[in-house]
Amino acid sequence: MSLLDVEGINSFYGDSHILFDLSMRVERNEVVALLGRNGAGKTTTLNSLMGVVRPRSGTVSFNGEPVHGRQPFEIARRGMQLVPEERRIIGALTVHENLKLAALSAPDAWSFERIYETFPRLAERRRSGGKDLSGGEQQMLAIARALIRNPKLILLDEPFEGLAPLIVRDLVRICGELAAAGQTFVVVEQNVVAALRLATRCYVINNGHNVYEGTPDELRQNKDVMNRYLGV
Amino acid sequence: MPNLSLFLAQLFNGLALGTLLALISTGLTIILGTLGVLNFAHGALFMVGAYVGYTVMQATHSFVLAVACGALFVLVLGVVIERGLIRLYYERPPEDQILMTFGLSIVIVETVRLIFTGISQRMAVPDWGSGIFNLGFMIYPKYRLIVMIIVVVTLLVLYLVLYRTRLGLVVRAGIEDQRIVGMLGLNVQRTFMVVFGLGAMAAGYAGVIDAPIVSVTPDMGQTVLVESFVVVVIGGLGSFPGAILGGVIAGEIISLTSMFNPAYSQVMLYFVMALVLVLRPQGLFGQEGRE
Repeated sequence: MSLLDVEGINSFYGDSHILFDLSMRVERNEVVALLGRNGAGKTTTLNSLMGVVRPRSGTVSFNGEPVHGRQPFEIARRGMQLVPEERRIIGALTVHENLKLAALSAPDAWSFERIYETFPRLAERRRSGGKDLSGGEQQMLAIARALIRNPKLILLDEPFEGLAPLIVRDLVRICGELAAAGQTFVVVEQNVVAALRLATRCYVINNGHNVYEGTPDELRQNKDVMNRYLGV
Repeated sequence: MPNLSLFLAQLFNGLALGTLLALISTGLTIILGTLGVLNFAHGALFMVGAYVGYTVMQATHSFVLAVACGALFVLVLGVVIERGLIRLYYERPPEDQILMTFGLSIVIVETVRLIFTGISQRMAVPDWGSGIFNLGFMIYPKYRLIVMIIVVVTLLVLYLVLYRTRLGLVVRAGIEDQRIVGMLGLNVQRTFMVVFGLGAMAAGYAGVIDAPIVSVTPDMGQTVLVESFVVVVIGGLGSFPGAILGGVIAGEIISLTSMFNPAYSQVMLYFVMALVLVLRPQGLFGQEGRE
């Protein structure tokens, strides 16, 4: 049984049909990259998994249980965490309060010490307001906030977007260490190189259709797919 | 020209009015910030608190019981209103919410008029609150002084709830971004219910303790509603410190203008509100770009 099993979901924003019979699966300890051009439907896919968007048809099974149609808070309590592209750090709360908020409803939360060990930068900034963080710090906090809940699956939406190369390198390293320790991820990224460095398997999405599945090595060698769907 | 002692007296009156307005506005601003609902029934809830307090005081002569019953009754009423009505309007446009809460306030006011008639009632001042107190620069009714202390203590308690508890953490986060609060595993809907109940309770509680000072009528909530909207605009939507500072500012404006000409006190209030909207549209403590 896969950790996540998505069967033929169709998702809409209002009247516009975004995802077409999209299927995918994620096994435990995998890092799955979702690649594709802008507007291909990657973010909508993540939102459909998290319950932010409700698929009109199809099924999403998480840890053996159907979760489509459930609310985000119910899905979060079952162990899925979305780190949204906009990061959504609560500016009025401090770094520590943002983490505390995330841990409130997690029965098996990480200790703050363990989070601060993983992200030393956040330990230094623990009393800073969320609105005073740099983009890189915000992204670290967004990931830390998901991680503290000790989720079975973390969905990362464009985690490296708009960040300086040095910070991207740091984040890739941290995510790589977490993955090596057994954390399962789904990563949506425009930065194909960074994404493929992390991923163990990848899907390519185009116009709301799942058009390719393979390992990073297979994809790198598939010039046709790289060219046609990723513009690389 | 007013002399110094009159000025000091009015300054003090303004503070008394201001802290009460702050308390009422706290409920309004937290409901607005968290639920996104402009609650036009807030004044009616204030009035219901006053009537429940008045009735219990008549029956038992216990002020403590009157306050407890008034606050609890409005808390329960608030929860019922949120579950039964407001909940159905979260996805609807603001004008629908305004029409609904406005209609609700009419129903509440007319129901109270049906039960108690429109004749104004007087709630007795508790025994320990009767008499006067010499402040040095002025003689002040003892009860009003005690009310001020009660209100300040209540605001401190509210502060502690908002900034030192689990619920407060969720509410402060929810004021800024409900969606992420949900994605972090927290049931925002349930928080909404609690917030509306507590916000309503703040209004009802203020209604009871204000009742011995003013006359209790079915329409007593109207002025309060309008003034607390001004307070929320001045302080910034959803801001607790904003509601407190805005309340004191509004109280002082009303009180100090009354010294020259009471007819202009409301006009001055709107003038200052307009000034804030021009110079700092998000309010003194509000965040830019909030809807």
